[in-house]
Amino acid sequence: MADIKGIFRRLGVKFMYLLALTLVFLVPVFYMMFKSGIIETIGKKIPIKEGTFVEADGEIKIKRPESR
Amino acid sequence: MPEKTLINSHSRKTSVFLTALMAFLLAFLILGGNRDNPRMMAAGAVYLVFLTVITYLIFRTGMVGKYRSIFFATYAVGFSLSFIPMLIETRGSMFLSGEEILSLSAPLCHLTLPMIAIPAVVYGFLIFPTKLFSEMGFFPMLYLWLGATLFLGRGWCSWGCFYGGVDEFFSKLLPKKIVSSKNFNYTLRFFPYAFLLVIVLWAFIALEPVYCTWFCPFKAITEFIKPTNWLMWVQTGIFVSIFLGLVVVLPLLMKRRTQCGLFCPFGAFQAVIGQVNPYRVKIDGEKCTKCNTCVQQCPTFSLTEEAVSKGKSCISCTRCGKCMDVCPRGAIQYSLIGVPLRNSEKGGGFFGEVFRPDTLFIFGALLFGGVLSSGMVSTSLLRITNLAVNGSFLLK
Ligand code: SF4
Ligand code: SF4
Repeated sequence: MADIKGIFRRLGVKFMYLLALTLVFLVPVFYMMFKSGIIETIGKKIPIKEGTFVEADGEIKIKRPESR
Repeated sequence: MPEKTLINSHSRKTSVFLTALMAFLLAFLILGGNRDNPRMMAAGAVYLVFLTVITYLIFRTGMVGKYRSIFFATYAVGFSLSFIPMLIETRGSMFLSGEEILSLSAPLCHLTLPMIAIPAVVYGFLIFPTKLFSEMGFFPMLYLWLGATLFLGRGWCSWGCFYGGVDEFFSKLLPKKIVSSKNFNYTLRFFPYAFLLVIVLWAFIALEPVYCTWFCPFKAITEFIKPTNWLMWVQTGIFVSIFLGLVVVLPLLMKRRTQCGLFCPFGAFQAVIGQVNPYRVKIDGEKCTKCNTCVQQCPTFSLTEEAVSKGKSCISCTRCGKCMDVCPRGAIQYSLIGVPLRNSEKGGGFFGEVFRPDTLFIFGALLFGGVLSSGMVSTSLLRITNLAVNGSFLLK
């Protein structure tokens, strides 16, 4: 039992180091993807729109959903 | 007092290797992105040299808090020196006019994300006047935040945030504290969490980015709406007071990052969400003598006596490294979840040093922050040169 626990613990430690190393490698990949247009490709699939703002009594307010 | 052990230091060979690797990656990412602009490339090269020196000093000496702080404050100064003149060039002043709001030209920053998230999900639109895909619009900022959360967790607040270095800068100006925090009421560090809850609910009900309208102290160094009625004058008074009090005066007097530790709701948000990042700051109970030096020095109030006895920093920890610099026993270290604490007396050799949790965290964090800051710092260098040669900060 103690042996099995030990094996799992060692595997867990190895996994964490692998994860940490992957994160370091992902940093440059992250920046290269930033310029690759991936943000637009994925963003366009997400159903979020820009807000519509109106000037009411000199103050700028978002057009609320009920008035759309 | 026993001789101080610098737990994050590396041998010369490992430091040279890590510095060369960092310089290579930074050169590729910073200079590669500016190939068609020779002036930006030259400024980028100067910044690259600076980052390379910082990298070597961090790894070789192990003084992570000290040298990271120089990088972070430089980043914040570079941000301010590049952002304000950029606004003046594009719109003639720091003021955000109705025209910009109606045309959705306001740059979005990460501080707005917790506020705009619920209305975006519920109603499907942004309550902030920005474009979805412009350079400083919603999706690029969301992408940046996702990366920051994954790579840094709340380490964002000491390695990536372009505002965080401002109170850090002021906290470093005086050689000694003027106001001691010995009797500091640590309950105050829960304020950002309560404040976060309030502004998220308020923004959802009012459908307005209320933190930006009323509180954000960094409007003082970015942009704000020109006050035209008494309510706007009140709002301006509030954010200017918060800026002067929490970003300038208290950091100067207490040598702590009071805005980031006691106010910023995004910091609280990042502390919670940032738990997905696998790094933690832990205290070795066998070495720690409970001298509480770290408690007195943590810039963001993330160490309390209770936290020290539990052997870990609070979730608000920004992974800045200061506690590790000052611990006389070398008892505090960066660790990975589930990985036993390291015995600092063991050398570990070249590979042992390269694959240490502190090495991996610092390398990733500095690479992330270095690239993110490069555009702003490089532009500010060009502006300073322009000021010296042509007498103006403006490039256009
Ligand atoms: S606490 Fe807020 S201002 Fe400070 S570094 Fe974090 S996000 Fe930036
Ligand atoms: S606990 Fe240590 S690493 Fe975390 S914020 Fe405080 S001084 Fe920095």
